[in-house]
Amino acid sequence: MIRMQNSKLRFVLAGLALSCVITNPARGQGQPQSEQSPMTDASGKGGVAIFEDFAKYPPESRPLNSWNWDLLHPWLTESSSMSLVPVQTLRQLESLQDTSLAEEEISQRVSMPSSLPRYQFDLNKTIVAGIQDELVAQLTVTPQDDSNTPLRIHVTKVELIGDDYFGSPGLGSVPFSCETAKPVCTFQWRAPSTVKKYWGSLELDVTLTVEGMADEFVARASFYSSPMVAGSFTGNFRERVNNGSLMIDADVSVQKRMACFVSANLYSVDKDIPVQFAQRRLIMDPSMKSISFMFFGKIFRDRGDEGAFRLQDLKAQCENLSYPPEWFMDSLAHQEELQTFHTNHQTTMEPARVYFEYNTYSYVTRRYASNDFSDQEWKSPEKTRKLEALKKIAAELDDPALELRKRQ
Amino acid sequence: MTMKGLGTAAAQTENHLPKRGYRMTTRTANVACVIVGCLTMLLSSAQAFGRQINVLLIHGRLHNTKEHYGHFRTDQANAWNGMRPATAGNVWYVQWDAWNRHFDDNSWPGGAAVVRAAIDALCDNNKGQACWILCHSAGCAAFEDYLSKSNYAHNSILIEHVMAADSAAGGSELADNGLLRLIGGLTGLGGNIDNSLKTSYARGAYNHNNMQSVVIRGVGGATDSYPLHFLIACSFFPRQSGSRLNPKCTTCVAGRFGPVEKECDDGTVALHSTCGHNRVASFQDCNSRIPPHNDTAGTYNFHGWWINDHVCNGDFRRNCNWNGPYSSFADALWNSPFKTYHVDHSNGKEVVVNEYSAAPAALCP
Repeated sequence: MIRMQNSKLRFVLAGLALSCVITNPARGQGQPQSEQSPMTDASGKGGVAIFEDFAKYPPESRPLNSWNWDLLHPWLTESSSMSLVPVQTLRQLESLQDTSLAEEEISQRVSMPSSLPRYQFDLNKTIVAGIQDELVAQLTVTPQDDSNTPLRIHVTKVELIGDDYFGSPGLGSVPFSCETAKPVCTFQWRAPSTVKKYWGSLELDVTLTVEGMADEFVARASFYSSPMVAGSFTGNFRERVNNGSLMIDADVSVQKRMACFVSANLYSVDKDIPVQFAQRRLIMDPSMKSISFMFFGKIFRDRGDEGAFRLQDLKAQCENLSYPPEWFMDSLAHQEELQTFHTNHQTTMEPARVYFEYNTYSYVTRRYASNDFSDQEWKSPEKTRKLEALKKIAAELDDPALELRKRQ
Repeated sequence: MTMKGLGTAAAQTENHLPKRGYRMTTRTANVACVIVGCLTMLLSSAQAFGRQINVLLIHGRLHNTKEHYGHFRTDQANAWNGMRPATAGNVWYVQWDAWNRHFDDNSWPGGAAVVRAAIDALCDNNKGQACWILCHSAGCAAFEDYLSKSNYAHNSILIEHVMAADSAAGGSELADNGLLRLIGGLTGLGGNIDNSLKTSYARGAYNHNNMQSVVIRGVGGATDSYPLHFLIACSFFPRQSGSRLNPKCTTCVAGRFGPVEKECDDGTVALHSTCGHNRVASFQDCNSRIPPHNDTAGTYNFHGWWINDHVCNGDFRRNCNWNGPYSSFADALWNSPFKTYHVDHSNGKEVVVNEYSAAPAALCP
């Protein structure tokens, strides 16, 4: 009897709850009302759709477009123009660090010129890999006002500062030349040796004066230096089609066993446009003689890319680890070892990255027709497992009880 | 990066988390539905949610010599100012040495090392777990570095959503100029972390596109009110003139007679970083590469804004699915046409915690 009443009550309440879900706009936000692509759903269902879309192609092989600025310039980060703030102003601010002055008082005490010249560094690269690689940094100073009279600058000091993990050592001056008619100076640097002090985040500090201004200014440019290298590409390549994808093998000479991210871009020769980006995540070992880049067949097919292709922008970035690279590659499987290691070892602070030697190698393939490549989506057991997990959690997130549990 | 917020529209910080998630027809209807729902849930256990939901909060640049490192149920370093998102799961505070270590440091207690350990321990589907991530500033850089270098697409880790407050994943021009030491109440101190927050370092550390389908929704602060505005504004962040400039950003004038320019930042990080743009340049808004959006003006894959996804019939703010912001706190700060928030570098944290709390459980359980 009680059971039956309970059952009836449950039925009635379920009906009422359903009507709440239907009539309440709040639920409408949790469960999209109108017809739309599943990917526009921000909840678990959308997550499934986004993963399905992502996993059409393997993670190691991705479409590359003209708007992927960063991938198309793998050695460079642009910089923008900035004001040259007088050294004296910054010193004033620092001297106020121990005071308990309000910001308004500080702003009144610190003299900030109303019009400051601006500077911009144009660097050829912001990652310098190896002792043959060279940084070229062009400094341009411009007036803040609209004066047509060009500024005249005088560089009084140039200093390269080392990574703070090594105590920010002074690394000496940097050769430079300045144009006589323009406020433009060019600085060139390459690591003199593989000594550690040249490793990591380095900063080029240029102290200068501007004619007509009493103040002294510092212009700064930062870059990452990896004077020691984990290996190099040799410039030898081979190509083949495997399972409907284009494989290009690049020969390497590996010096040190490390967990690395090795990447390259593929361009269409005929159209001179980027086509695909390949990135491998693997342990590079001195026994390795080559690395294979896969350019996935379906990406060619979906975009209609055919003809000859050019491989370029080869880059290998390796992780500086104080433990075996296998633990990094599969940290889930090595949780205990990592935990024990972290507990028992005092690690020295060192920069995180070591690169393969910078190179400008490129390789042009033979011509391919679109149907030389496969139209099949990426399939793998890992993909299937991930998809099943995402679908399961999407279903779980749909449970109305979750909302109540959250609001309790 | 931690910074004391001054005089922003977000000064009305709420210690308690608002429960307003979405619009109800009437308060009465709401109460009735909750009661009915509760009873239904009590009488029907078939729908039990057995999964362990873990909400990880990863802090940014922080100087606290008493901080313990790892993942904890309490915010020992007070990096989140006592805030705790409402959740059906567990809140974990991921604490790394965000002062002496770089965000991408794989040795303990560097950013990548601590984040990796936390995620391996708390986000493994094989253990019935799934994670939602709330990160702030350099904490977002540490998380993204971990994810980009992980084999996420091949392993059993489940990360459902990432809310990135004031992300420093693209670096800061203040770090480029050695000025982060002036942030945080003029401490005059600089940590080793500052080097890793330089724009070239942060952007060169990892492939920012390789989020492997995990979406990063950014809360990008664009305001003209923050500490040391007189020094920072118009000096270090990229700016632009032209039309459709963000009115909430700082106005700069190029010379005495030059055009009006706008620079958009939160006092520490510019929109190019907080919104996941793929180059250091002036941006007035956030864009998105999260479906259905497909920005081709320069946004990293799987990055977008929090949150307004289903664009329908010109009405961005109402009557659309997944149409945040959900909390009154964030709604008051939301600059809809530009997808930015009127917050400084500290207040973004409050936006993500409030938003997680107020969002539907199907999105933020």
